Amino acid sequence: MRRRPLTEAFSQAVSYLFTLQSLSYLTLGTGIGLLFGAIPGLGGTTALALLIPMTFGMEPDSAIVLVGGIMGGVPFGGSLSAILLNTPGAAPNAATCFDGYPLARQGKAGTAIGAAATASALGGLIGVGVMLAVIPIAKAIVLLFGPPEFFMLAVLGLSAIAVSTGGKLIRGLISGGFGLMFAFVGFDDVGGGLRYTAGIEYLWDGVQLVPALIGLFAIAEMIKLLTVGGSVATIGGPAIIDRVLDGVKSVFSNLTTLLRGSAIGSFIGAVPGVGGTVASFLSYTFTRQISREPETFGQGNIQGIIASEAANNAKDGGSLIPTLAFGIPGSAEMAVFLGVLVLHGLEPGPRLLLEHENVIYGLIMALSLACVLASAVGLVLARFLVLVTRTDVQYLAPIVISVALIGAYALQSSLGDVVAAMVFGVIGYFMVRFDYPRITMVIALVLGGIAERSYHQSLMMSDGSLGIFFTRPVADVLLALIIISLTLPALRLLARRLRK
Amino acid sequence: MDVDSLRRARVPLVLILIMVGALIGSYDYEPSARALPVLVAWTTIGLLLLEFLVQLGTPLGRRIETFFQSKTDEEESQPVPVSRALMYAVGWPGFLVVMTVFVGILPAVLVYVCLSLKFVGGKSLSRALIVALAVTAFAWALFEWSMSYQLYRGVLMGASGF
Repeated sequence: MRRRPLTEAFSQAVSYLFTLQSLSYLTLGTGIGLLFGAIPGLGGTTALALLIPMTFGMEPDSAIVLVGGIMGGVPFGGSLSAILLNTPGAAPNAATCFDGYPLARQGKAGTAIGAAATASALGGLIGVGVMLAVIPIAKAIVLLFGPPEFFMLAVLGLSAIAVSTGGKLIRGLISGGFGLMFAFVGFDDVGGGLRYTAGIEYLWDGVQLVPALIGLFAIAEMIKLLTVGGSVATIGGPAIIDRVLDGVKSVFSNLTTLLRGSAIGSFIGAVPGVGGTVASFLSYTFTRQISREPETFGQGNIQGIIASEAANNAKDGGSLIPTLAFGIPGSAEMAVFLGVLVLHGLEPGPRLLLEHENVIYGLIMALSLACVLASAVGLVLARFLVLVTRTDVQYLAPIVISVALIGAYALQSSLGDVVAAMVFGVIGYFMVRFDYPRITMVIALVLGGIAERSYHQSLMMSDGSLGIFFTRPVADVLLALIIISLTLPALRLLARRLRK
Repeated sequence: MDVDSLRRARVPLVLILIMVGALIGSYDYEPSARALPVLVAWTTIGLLLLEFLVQLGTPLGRRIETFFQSKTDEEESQPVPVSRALMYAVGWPGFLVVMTVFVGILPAVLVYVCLSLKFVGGKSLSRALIVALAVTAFAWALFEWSMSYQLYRGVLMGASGF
């Protein structure tokens, strides 16, 4: 088969995308993405899963454009609820809460939204650019990671995030430990038996991530607000958004943070199974650790928003690499996206790149445009969205709790998910009250399965020897990063004392 | 060692008991199935012991706190008052879940939002009803109308339970 030049496929995709029909699908997808992203607990995976049947009668190109719009819109939608409600629309937006929400409470929600919109758009574009550049060498990169490396990567994700919890390293690791134990609940892939289910049938499939997220963030936050009363924003007065442009400008004055976050997001996104949560938190952690003012993070430092949002959006481009090139989904969202491709007769893998280049480039273009479109729409709507922070919590809480619990049910049509979300809501509330970071528990829930599977696969490869984790170059590099991340607070303290 | 330190140290102590329970339970499983859970449980118990020492405020605890930079946010970690507000905050969503099981999602949301606004928020009945109807209509429009997705109907309406 003759392979068409890249430029031909690219120009074909561009000419298709800039038709009225495609732009309509793109706008619709972006709007749906923003909505699903902003509603805590729904997110991109739910949006794609619920909309798969709707794309059935569509042309593959149109379906891909619609899906690209959704994937581009979800991350920024999630950052809006993270900033305004301290409730991430999805797990990858959780890092945005750390500094976005404090800014909202200081009456600077507009600045935070402006920075998030710009970092999202630029991060998304950089991620797509990286994808275009990396596709030719993608296979070699992905093949560097075997089970020992995946195990080390999971441990690195957990330790790096515990360090990033602002002086709560021990409690962060404890939360992670409990999160891992939750992740072990259910059917054991290796031994084939059930663990920690207490005879509850719902738990046979394990603790589901989305209800846990809804509980730990959306419901816990609402319980907390209900006990305090008032509104999300502690600063009173009219909801004037006059600093959106300040947020936009702040991204350009922190270009290094943007580029670093985008690079981390693209790289982590390309590693199958790790996903955007690790990307945004690693980016946040790294930015905080190398900052000259690490103590300002968590208090409303704009760099925290830029770092996490750039990585969160850049990871989409990165995670398309293994999804399209090898049929290995980089995240749950990508796994659902694979379903969309297969539904439309597009078999993921190297042949897809050879035979359907126009579809691939159409998707890339759609994703790029959706990133910009979502941010533009978000900026326009920021003035109205910020009113959410001024709403009386007695109105806000029942509405958010209702929508969040409906979202929990909608994912799998399971009442068990509704109960699980409520249980995790109470757990999350007490974690907030006793100052135990919730995010390490979430990361552990995400990484627990990968960690355990990789651990057993590694031991099978080495006939039970733990040495396999220490004798492979990439695993060694990751181990070094784990040690550095765990000892960095102590080393920093030591350096400060020596300086004195 | 003051009363506050002892009170704060109760949290890691309770968590140690929970984790020890999980650890003991782990030994019921096959060696391969319990390998990583046991490792995680022991590590977490170790960390909880460190946290226990930190919260007790002993000299060793203070050293650990300094080394790990593991300070406690005094504002956040105040004792949790079992107040009426907390009971309402947890009880009302619990009421929503129970209602959902019996009458289904949409009627439960309507009743929950309305009653919550009226009795917890102190809003007028007409305002509470308008907001409740708006939220229910939004949920219906988003899921049932636009996505043809049937929300749970409730065991009293003939739907199966869990």
